[in-house]
Amino acid sequence: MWRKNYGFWRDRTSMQLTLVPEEAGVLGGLAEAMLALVGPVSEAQPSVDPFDQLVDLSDEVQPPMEPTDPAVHRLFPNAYGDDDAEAAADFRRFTEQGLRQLKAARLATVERLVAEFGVPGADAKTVEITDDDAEVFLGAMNDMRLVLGSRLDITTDDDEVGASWDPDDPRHHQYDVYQWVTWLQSTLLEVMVK
Amino acid sequence: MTAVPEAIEDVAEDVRPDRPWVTVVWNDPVNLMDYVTHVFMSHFGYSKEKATELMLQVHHDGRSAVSNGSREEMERDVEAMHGHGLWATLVKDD
Repeated sequence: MWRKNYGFWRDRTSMQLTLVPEEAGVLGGLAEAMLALVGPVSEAQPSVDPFDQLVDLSDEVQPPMEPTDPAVHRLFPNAYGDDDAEAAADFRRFTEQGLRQLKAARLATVERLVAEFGVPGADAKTVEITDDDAEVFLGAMNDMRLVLGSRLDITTDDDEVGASWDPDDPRHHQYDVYQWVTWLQSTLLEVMVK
Repeated sequence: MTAVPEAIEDVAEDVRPDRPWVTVVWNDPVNLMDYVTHVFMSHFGYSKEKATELMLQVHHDGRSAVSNGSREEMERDVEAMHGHGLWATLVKDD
């Protein structure tokens, strides 16, 4: 289904990314969907009654609640075991917004960079990738895979995924996307590690 | 989710009384092995050999204690691991 010829590679001087516009569109679409999940304004912030806000004279910032969406919880897991919920909540209060900003910034950068690959139907295009952009892609693609993996209920290291799904189950397509992002991340790791 | 054990015995570095907390990275089915190695090298500055050894410990044993220090230091390490998408917790090593 997906072309597996290009991805990230390195010539003598710099790192390159070659994609057809359709592939770039998949990455851009994932980045956009992920931004809705990790953006600072999200389910983590309970809706605040303006009147309550008005009469709340304390300086206390409302702490983010533990995410109920398993995929979001995987991105922002508890830092302490189940026996120390208070420490986990404190950690969340001090770190979650910053982590959301970090992940959102990476996704926004990916969205901007893949927009350079043109419109569907055009030929594959190659764009030079800086070392900073490479780290951004690496982290953003990893977050995409964590969310897709959670949605697809990938819970073991083996490849039994999808065996029990109906042939027309939309998760087959999601799993294709997951495997394609896995392949693309692998091409990047290959050129970064070597 | 698996409960965090009381104490972790297979600590990467020696644990002295002034370094009583450890950062534990847990195995998950999504993160690629090379990616985990890369994160251990880039965040902790570990050699490729040491980072690979810790990654394999996560992969085979389900977890690895990857750093130790004060509670504040370990919270910073755990936060960084979460930033990279690794599943990490901190625990006091009694």
